[in-house]
Amino acid sequence: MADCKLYYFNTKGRAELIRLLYAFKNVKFEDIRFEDKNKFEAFKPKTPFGSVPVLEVNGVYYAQSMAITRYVARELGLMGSTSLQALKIDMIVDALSTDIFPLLKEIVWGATDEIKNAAKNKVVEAIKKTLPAFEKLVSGDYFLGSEVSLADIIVFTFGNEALPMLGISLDDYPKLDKLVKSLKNNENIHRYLTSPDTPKK
Amino acid sequence: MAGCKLYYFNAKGRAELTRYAYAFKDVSYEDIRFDDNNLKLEDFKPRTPFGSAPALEVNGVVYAQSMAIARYVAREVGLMGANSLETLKIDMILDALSSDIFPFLRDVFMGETDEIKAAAKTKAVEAIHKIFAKLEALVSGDYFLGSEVSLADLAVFNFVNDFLPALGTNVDDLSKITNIVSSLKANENIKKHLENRPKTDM
Repeated sequence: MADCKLYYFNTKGRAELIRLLYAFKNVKFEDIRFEDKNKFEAFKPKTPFGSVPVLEVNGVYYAQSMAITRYVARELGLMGSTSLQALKIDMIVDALSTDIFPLLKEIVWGATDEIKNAAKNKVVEAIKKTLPAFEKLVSGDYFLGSEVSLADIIVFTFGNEALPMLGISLDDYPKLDKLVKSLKNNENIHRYLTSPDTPKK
Repeated sequence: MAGCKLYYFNAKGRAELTRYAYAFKDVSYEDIRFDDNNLKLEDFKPRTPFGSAPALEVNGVVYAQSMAIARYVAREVGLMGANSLETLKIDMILDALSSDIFPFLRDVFMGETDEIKAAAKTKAVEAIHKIFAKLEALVSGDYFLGSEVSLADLAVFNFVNDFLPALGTNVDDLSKITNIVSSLKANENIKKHLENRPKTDM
């Protein structure tokens, strides 16, 4: 696969899922992190939309975190083997990234406590519906059966960070619980999550 | 890929992009719209993964999420580029529309007060001009990928043709984007679709 350069801040944010995919498959890439805001401002004009993350492939810059995530997943063999499997993955990814993640952001970054609390209530309600749906979609060990895909990795990040933060357990969802634990114990993921180089927030 | 069933309301909304993909490539599918006589959303919900629409039924299995569905159909009819990098370019454009512009639209049309609607409209128009200027720079030849139409062109057409007028603004100053829109509007298959589809507000 092509040599890729990922540009982002030295934080998790919208780049962390991309970094985690590379780590899971133990594939190298250039993980460029802006040391300060000036470096980002200097880079901005080169980007398609004035935003990061950006992935540089063969000298061309691509933007939009989820577009990049899907590309990297394809290159790493994490998007299933058929078009219908890719649809199943996309469906799960979108259910989290478009319906749930924006609410999670508001809990952290909301302008007032009122906004933060409203977001928290909304997201807890949404999660009550999403978790049973996800549980039904696990087929075997993972969403596609025996092979790990992008859907499992994004659900792992959700189960590993967001759910504990919200005080929601997976006790009622044994398949999801097993999936999350299985990935948490994965050697490559564990090494990445415990590495001092990995952004902690 | 015969016989996919698309389920949605009698509206353009989140299903129209998928309908455009089928129409442009003249591929048939069942365009099922909820109404009180035939099928209600409430009755259909249990068959869906998340209780939402649109939904696409393929070989008896029901899939959800409008953009996941649009991408699948685009792949099947040949509108997702010829390689992984072209797909990335298409995805980037789709996401710029859906994550940088669409979030404002909810409050523009369904805001709880006129004040909220007006504020959202101002923000939406600002975002539209900012993003579309960047999209203009991504057009390579006639279309985003060059000479071939892709889902990215259809998504821009969908937005400009079906949503922009209600926001009281336009992107006529962007020549390449305008070209894509008028070229698709003049396309025989798209024309047929625009003439035959039910007339709905949204």
